[in-house]
Amino acid sequence: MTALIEARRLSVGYPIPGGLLSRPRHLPVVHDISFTLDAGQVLGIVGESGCGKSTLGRALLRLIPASAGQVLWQGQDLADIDATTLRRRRAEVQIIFQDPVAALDPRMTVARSVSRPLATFEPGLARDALHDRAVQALGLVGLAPEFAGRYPHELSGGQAQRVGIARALIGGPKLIVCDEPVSALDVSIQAQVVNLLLDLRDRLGLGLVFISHNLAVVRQISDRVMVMCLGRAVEMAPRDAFYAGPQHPYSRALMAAVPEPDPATERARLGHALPGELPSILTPPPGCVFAGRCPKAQSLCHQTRPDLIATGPRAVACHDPDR
Amino acid sequence: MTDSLLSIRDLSVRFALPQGVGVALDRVSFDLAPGEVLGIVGESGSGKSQILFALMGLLAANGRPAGQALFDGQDLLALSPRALDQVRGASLSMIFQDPMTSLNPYARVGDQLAEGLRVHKGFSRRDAWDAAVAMLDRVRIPDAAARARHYPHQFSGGMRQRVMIAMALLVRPKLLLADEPTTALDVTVQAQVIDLMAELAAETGAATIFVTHDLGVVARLCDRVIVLYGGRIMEEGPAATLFTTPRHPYSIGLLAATPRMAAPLAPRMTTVPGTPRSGAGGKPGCPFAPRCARRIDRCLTETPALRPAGPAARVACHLAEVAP
Amino acid sequence: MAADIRDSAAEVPPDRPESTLRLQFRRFRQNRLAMAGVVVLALIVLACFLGPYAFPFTGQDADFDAIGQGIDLFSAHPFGTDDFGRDLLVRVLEGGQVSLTIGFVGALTAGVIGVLYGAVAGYAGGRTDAWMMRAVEVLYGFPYVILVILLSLLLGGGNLALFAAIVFTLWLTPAVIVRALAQSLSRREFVEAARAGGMTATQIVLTHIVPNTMPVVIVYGSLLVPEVILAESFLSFLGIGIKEPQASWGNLIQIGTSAMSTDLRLLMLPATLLALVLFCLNFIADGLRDAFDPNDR
Repeated sequence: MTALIEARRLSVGYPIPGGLLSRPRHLPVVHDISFTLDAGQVLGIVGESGCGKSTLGRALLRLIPASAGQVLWQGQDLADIDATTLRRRRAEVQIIFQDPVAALDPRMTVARSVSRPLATFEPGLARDALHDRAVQALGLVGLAPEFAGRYPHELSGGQAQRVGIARALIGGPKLIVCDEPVSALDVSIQAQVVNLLLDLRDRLGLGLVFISHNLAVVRQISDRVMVMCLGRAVEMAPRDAFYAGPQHPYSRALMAAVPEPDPATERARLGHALPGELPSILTPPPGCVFAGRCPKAQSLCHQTRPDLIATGPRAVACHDPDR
Repeated sequence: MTDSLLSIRDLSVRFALPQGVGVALDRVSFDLAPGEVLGIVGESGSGKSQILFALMGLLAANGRPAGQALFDGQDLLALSPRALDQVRGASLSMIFQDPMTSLNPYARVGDQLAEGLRVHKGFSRRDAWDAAVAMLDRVRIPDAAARARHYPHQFSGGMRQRVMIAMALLVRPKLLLADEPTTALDVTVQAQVIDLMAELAAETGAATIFVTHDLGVVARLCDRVIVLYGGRIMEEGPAATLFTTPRHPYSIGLLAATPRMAAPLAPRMTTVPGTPRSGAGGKPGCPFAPRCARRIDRCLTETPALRPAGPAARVACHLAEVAP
Repeated sequence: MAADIRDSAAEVPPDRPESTLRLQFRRFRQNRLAMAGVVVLALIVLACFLGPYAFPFTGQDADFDAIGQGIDLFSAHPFGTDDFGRDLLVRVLEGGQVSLTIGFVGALTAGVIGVLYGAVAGYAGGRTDAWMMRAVEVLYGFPYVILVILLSLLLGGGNLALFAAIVFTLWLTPAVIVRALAQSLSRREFVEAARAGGMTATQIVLTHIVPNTMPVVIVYGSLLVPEVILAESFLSFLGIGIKEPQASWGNLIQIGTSAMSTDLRLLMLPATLLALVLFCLNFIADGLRDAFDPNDR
């Protein structure tokens, strides 16, 4: 069975324009990422700012072109599809954003925002039909039809995110890339949206790529987890195995840093935060990207970058992974 | 309590809006002992940041505070702007969420730090600068002497926040107000900053009010916790007990909805249904009642008072009074 | 859980406050100076377009019996006549028709061209944007009056050529303003969402970018109208604009200025009306700006 989406050695970079005296350069943001995802599965992508996870998400939809490697939708390379066909096939792979209110055009009603993609995916629908489809999509995400005539500034964060999900659903997608979908929401609302996504996965057989910096939330929804650091995948594992025993020192550091609402655990962690900061993406180190902060770093780590080596369902990029 | 550093009584904040009056805080009362670290937890619309703004005199132009805020013998809300200026920056400091906009992009970091000492403590230029460099070193900015001459944009987000902390604590305030200072930071950097704040609070003896929506951060840093919803205190107590045995349905719901790293996984997360409303305070009845699964009729009509419930703990819930 | 979703479905949105547009127009109406500007401007427009019908003669008709008559409010010529016996009031009103028409239509045309140009440049970015804005910068560098004269000559003189020349020089600033706005709008997530929804660049510019520039464009547009009127007045004053015998406020002021030492009347009427219109437009623009200001919530 062909995977729903596959990334093969995907690299993404941004061109930096040259100045009067310097040539244009290429800034690589994502390096050599490979994974597959089947229908009904959820891949959680975790990392801190600058790790490239958002860029990766957009490259999966070809909102940003790849600079190397491939993205395949159901076996077909995105780069081989012409622009017009690509636009129509976007119905299959959709995206929801971190700031739900900013993801909606402030001058459009909810119904219009939700139904607008249909003009591309199913052209020729009458205005009434478009409105009906919008109301239907709103119902799928648990919003009453009264929301159809509202404007984004009248919505709460959670409601706006549901509208964004409704808009993503309207073309009948098979995969939704979720770029930090709950980070900007209140805790009590985060749980509602996560549950909604899980329901949609079950009812519609959706695949999800769930990008987040919050390890605890990722745990609730993912089947598999990929940890990124400075554009590279440092660990990939099935969810339970990963949380029971992370193998990469960076994964361990992330887990230890996530604050738990448990004073006993947290007080014990006080004073043991990992020092230092990650190097800038403009000046990547020659060796392992985490070597500067790793408690187990050796000279080898500073010189040679470890490859992502798979053993069974898990993969880790470390010269001396924890086991 | 007579030995409180800060005594807030019936603090209310109202905003004049085109469609009427919005109540952001509704008769909030609590005390803070010297050196204590208090966490105020709430979601959007709870009014948590307005408490800090009211104390510092930073409310928006259409905001009106009421009530009393006794700090070191003076009522902050009754002070003239000039008198407030002398308290602010000398014994009362604040750090904000966004270090980008809280620092002056056109001034060197060292100068911004030194300014507080020169203005409020009468230090000479040389002494203030030396103290500033020493503080930058204390907050673990590498190469502090050289970095003090840099401008804010030359620092990373985490470092800028440390600079903010340095600025706030350099004047040795009695009370530090922190408005979501770690929300915009990466999680590993957040851990560093929290550690730093804990160390410095202990070292300088400053009391801290830490406003956040993140329960985990509160668990790591705070001695006592206040849970705020719709402008009213729902529950208050020592961190050690509030997290393990919460009494208020909102606290219970919030803790249940917070995802954990080690707890057993359920097919779905526990949620608190409905949406937090902002500025809807001031009406009779419990502000949480519309979303509470355990509400009774009394909850909608009668505002529950904050009553003692165990050692050093208080709850505002009709049901909490019935059960022991 | 299904119960969870139904809870939200049961949660209907709260009673809606005013829609943004209504709120903004209410704020505008509350601004006394702006509303006064609207009223006065409306009166002047009505007077210019309908007023001449109240008179049995036009501004071109020479009344040889009443050459050079002074102000006599109860005579057939309330504000007197000029050296050719033409009624001054009617001439000024007819001149107003020309000036106001050129002003509003010119501003609209310059605005539309500028908005589209700026939106495309801002959204496109990269080299397209760079070249488009370079062209704008070059045009900015031209001395304004020379450009108008050249264009007028190229297009064969006449009023249409004048109109085209004015528009051609005045679309530049709206383009620059809209381009900056379009750049920042293009980075917003809802534009990304539109691309993810399969919209073409043209569709995005027309559906998302341009409408979201409207608040700024409206405010700026209301400043553009007086600019066009002034431009026409200035050119007519210089003698390269609207030509005699057709009246415009510009050439009326020019005549009035040459006769200033002997007969102030000829200058005061058109100058006063022009000044009034400019004041009104500026108050209206201020009011619009305050009403649409997103920071003022």
